[in-house]
Amino acid sequence: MSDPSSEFVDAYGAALNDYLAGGGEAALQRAYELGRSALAQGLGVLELAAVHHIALGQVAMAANGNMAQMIATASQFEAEALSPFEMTHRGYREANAALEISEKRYRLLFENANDIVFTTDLDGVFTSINRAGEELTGYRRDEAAGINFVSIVAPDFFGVVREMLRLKRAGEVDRTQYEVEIIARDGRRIPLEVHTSLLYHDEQPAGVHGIARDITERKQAEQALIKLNERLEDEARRIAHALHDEAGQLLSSVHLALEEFARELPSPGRVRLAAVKELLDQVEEELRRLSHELRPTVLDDLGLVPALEFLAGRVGKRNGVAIAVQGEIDERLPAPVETALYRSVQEALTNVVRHAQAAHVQVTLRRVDRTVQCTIQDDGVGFDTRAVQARRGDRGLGLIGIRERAGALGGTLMIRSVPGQGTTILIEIPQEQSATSDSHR
Amino acid sequence: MSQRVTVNNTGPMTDGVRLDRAQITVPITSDLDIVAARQRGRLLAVELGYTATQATLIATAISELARNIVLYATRGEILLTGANDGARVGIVVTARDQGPGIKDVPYAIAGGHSTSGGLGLGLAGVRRLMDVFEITSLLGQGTTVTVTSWKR
Repeated sequence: MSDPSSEFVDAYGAALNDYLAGGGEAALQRAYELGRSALAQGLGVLELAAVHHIALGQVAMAANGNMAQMIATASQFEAEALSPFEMTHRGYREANAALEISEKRYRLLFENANDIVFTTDLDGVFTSINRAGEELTGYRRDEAAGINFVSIVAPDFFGVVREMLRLKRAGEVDRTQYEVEIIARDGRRIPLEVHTSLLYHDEQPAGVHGIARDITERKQAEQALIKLNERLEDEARRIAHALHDEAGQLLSSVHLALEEFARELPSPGRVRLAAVKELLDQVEEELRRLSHELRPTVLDDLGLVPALEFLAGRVGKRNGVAIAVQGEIDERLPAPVETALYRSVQEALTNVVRHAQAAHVQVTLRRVDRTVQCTIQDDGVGFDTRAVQARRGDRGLGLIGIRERAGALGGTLMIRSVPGQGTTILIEIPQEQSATSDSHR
Repeated sequence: MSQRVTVNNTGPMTDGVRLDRAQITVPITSDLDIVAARQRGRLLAVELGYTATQATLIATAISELARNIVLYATRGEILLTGANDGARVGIVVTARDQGPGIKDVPYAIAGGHSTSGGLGLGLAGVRRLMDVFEITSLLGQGTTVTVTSWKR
């Protein structure tokens, strides 16, 4: 709204005078155009009414004769000047009705969503939360209003939430995706996958809109998978131990017994016995190999990089492939991570040997930000990644196994392969840098 | 490429709207003609017993339609006819031109067209003032807008 200019007031007064003097439709058309231009200038209805009353006051003073007739005529002029406003008001009404429908539609979606839908201001204070949010957190919406999202987040996730909010406020990103655990009113910890995006008002960031999904079941499945993998590894370790140590000792005893026995034999018998001993040596070697494949003791004793070097050496020699290992991680990683990466590389190398016809393979282990990354890159024939993963043949299953192992630890698998141009597999597992290897068994 | 949109603000049209035989034709080529068209429209409204307020709104609609003709098509005409659907008396205003036509008719009548659109004037404004609004526009060949206002 703005004040009418004196030019406008004068023009209006002149047109009104003209109309009262018998200006007819042409004067009314001018009234209409004046109304239109008032609208375009941003004048409000009341301001235009005020302009009319000023003009009316002036003509009333000069008027002699029928005042009632004059006012009625002037009102006609006023109505004409106001009619453009009538048009726009009907437009607003229409827009409001449309807005109401769209608002209702949003409400319905908002309330009936199975996921938590919420908004916060830029400090993280809740401004709205839907029914699913009330049920999951245990806080009613009137209770949630005014409390900060951070205050229902488990303390170990404060950093994540604050960082995400900071990134958005700093304008570095306008949407984020992260996992947190919240503490519901009854004290339950609930893991959530949270997607948020910035809300803008007049092109300025004004708040945050979020959708959060309860991922308890997914987390439980991941935990179950980790447990299962651990049990399998324990079992493998036990069998490997039995093969290597117990069976190995028995074989040593057999060796000794055979040697004593050999001394008592005539020489033709000794030759035949030597052949038996050679077979025994092969059995021993085979037991050692089986034991190692089941669970390399070097992984438990010396760590991931030496174990990978050992694995690369054996697989390379047996299959005539040059496999280089580059390990840029000195510290020991938690046992589940070391096992997962070792098994994944083992699986990947099996794929390379079976399908890739590669001459060189490069295995690289490095730390990037808060993750451990392992790449297995070969110069083989490559493959159509989509087709292989859809087919679920044994290579597809191997890749699924790698993906599941990584997924159970919150990590991801990426495969880049082009027929004729080799394959690169990237496994990424989140892992905070730690000075010690406490968590290692 | 003809676009035709009908908006009926008063529910489905009753069968058999009869137009009066007398039809007033006002050629539009200048602002002066806009005044003439308004005047004829207002007179017709008063003759048919419309209130002053309704007559003003009819004049307003004529102004907007005639304005568009002067602004975009240079020349055209406004036709005015009394009408009757058996239950009600009405006025039918037709604005016709052979101008460039309107590229996006739904957009124009939704209120997003030209400088006047943002304020809800123009075709969108006319649509909201009248009971029935019908537009046919053919790019390069012209536009015909027919609106009806029933007497309250």
